[in-house]
Amino acid sequence: MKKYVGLLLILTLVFIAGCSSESSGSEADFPEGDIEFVAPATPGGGWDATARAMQKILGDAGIIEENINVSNKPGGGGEVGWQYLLGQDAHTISINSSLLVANNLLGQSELTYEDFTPLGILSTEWVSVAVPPDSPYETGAEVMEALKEDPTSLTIGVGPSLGNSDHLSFVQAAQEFGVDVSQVEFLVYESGGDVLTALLGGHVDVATMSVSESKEQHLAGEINMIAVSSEERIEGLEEVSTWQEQGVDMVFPHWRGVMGPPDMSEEEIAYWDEAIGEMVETEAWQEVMNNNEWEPFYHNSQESQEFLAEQTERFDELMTEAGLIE
Amino acid sequence: MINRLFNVSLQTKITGLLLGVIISVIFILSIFFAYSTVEQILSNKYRLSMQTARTVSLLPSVSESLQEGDGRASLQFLTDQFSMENDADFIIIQDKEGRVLTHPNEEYLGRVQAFGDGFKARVFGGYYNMESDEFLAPSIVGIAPILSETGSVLGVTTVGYLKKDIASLIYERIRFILYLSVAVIIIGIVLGYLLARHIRKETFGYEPREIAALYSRQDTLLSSLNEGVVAADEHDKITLINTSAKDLLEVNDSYIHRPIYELLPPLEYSWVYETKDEKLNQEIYLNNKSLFVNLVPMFTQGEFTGLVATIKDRTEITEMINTLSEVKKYSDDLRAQNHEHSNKMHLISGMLQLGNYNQVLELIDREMNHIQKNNRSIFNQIEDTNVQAILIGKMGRASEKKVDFMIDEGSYLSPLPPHIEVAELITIIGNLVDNALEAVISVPHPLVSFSTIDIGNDIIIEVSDNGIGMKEEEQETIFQPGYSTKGDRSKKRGFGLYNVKAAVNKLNGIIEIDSSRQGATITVYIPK
Repeated sequence: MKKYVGLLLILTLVFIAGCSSESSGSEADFPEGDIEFVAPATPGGGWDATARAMQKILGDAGIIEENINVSNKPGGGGEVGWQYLLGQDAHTISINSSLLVANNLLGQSELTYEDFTPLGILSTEWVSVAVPPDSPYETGAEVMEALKEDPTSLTIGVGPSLGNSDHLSFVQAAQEFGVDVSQVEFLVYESGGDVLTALLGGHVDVATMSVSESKEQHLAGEINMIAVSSEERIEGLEEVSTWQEQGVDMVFPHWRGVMGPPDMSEEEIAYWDEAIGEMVETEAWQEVMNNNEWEPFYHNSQESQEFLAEQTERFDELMTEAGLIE
Repeated sequence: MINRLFNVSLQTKITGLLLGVIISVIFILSIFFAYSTVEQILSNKYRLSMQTARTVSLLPSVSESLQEGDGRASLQFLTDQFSMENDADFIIIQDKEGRVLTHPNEEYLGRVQAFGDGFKARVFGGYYNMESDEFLAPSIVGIAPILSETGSVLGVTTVGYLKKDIASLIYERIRFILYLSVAVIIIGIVLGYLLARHIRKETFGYEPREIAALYSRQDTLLSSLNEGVVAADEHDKITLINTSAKDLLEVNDSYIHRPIYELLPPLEYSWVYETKDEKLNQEIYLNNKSLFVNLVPMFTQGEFTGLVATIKDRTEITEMINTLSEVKKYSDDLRAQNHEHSNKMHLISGMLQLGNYNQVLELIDREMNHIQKNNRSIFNQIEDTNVQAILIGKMGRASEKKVDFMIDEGSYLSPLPPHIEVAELITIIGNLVDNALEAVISVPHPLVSFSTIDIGNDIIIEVSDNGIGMKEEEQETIFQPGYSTKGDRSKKRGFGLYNVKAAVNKLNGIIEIDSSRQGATITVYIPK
């Protein structure tokens, strides 16, 4: 008995020592030194805009007193930036999006959200479906009906790659309608801008793109937005009905979030939760949302973790044929 | 139940244990090897199929011919080549409608196969591995989309390895491990059998518990022996000393594993070791004891494995002889008394017949006085009955020898404490008085006086004579065994005073000798 007590004591001591050596670091005074935001894309896109907005607001409002730098690390649909993040400490965080989930499922990346520390989901855009003004189709449902009839009858423009939110939301809607998606012709363009050009030029019959990309042309009457993936009709686009209104039980956010490197401590996570939580409450953040056609979609670190798990499951189901069989 | 399980022969135990250990180790290792082999083969196939699918899908000629919609023959040629190089069982290319363009089996060419497992590649451009039974048979497949320059999906490549081939490959590898395992287990059985047999041979076929029983029996036997037993192995190292031997030689177990000649004085060990013959009844003298030692060689299955020395304490035998002779003397003494008595009765009867009544009365008075005087001190002052008996005996002996034997009037002796035994008392008093009687045999008016007193912490016994005394050197030697003033030593005499000394030593007493020309006084002090 005595022997075991001794052993337990030793183990406990070792354990305590282990714990204290972990927590006896300098986390009490985190952060110490410059903060780095990674935008895994070239300047000018949504990821870059999000990173720079955060840099400005967190700095201006004095939420973070340290120096904040934004570094652009484009390539591989986020892969380059996220690989870089793996080797950093809690002073570096990166912007992410649904691509983090999709890339892995499509065999384009080994990384999953589990390799990182989700710190929050910040905002979302909604995905729109648009046709030329002279198109015979007035609603998304009509497009789907036609595709159900003959999947090859229409070409759909998507960019910059298959498997992004624009593409996935269209596929999900089509599947809900019972379209044989494997026969549908998606034409891939290099960017959202190119998709718009192709639609305007009559190269594709239908285009799927984010609302921010299509809103201006729709309002100008150049194209006709016929469905959005949001829960409710979008402010300023009240004439466009949601997929839900058209009989498809689907809400598809094109979300953006932030994550840190793996193995962050409780204290570090708490620090970022507090900072980001404070940031999304500011006037300035609301302004950024409005200017970019984004919507607030805040989840804290714990909620992000759950949201990402649920997204992964949903995408996986969507991408396998099993998703068809209802 | 458990006991029953362990109550099996040594053979079974050893073989069982060995087998148990070997089989468990082999089982664990085999599982591990088999697992890692399967793992390795599978991951290899996964990797290879994915890699091949990716490579084929990225070939410019493939995407070109899909866009052009021709060149099937060249596609087939290409995929056959890749199949050969990578041992793939099939490489199937479908266009975006699902039409099979290349297939190892010609009759499938041109058929439309709906995208089931290829769905993710066709719709989302995904690259992935899976287990599929869409083509040919259940297989591990790598699936890759064939993309246009912009990234639209033109078709799907599926590269597969049939599971039954993989299974047979795995079986092949594991069979080897199995053979090896069986071989090792057989070796284990053989080794276990040999080891057990070897051990049985060493133990004369006794089971361990039998050996334990034998050992404890031997232990009990040895410690119950009166004789000392010392055993040594063939390298003259002591392996055993029994209790009696420890007592006789006054040693403890520390002598175990030491050479036997350190324990016993030089005997002819080497002779026994050389001739393998026994040497009996060697007499040695050690710690004031005379001992008889027998050296007997020990043989195990005809092999000489050491010797056994048995040690008899001759002192005991001597003491027995002495006691016996004391008892004999008593009967002699009593006979002498009887003789004296009948002499006196004759004298009285003669006087009465002559009518000398006064002389008769005088004689009887004198006798009565003498007896009363002696008896008073014996019976009133010496209360120990054993001492009384000894003294009465010695009085008879003295009067036969015409020696005046006086018991000091100041003698007092309470009954003796129980740790002083009769035999020792007989030895001490008897021998001292006998010696004194011997010493005065040739002097005029021989006188031996005895006194004893137990006031204080000691019992004091003193015997004096009016002989010629002892020389200095004599005083030192009289207590040695075999010393005698009477003739040669071969007659086994002269142990009297040696025995007195031994008895007194045993009782932690001391002996003093006071000698002059007018005689000797020996005083013995025995603590109560």
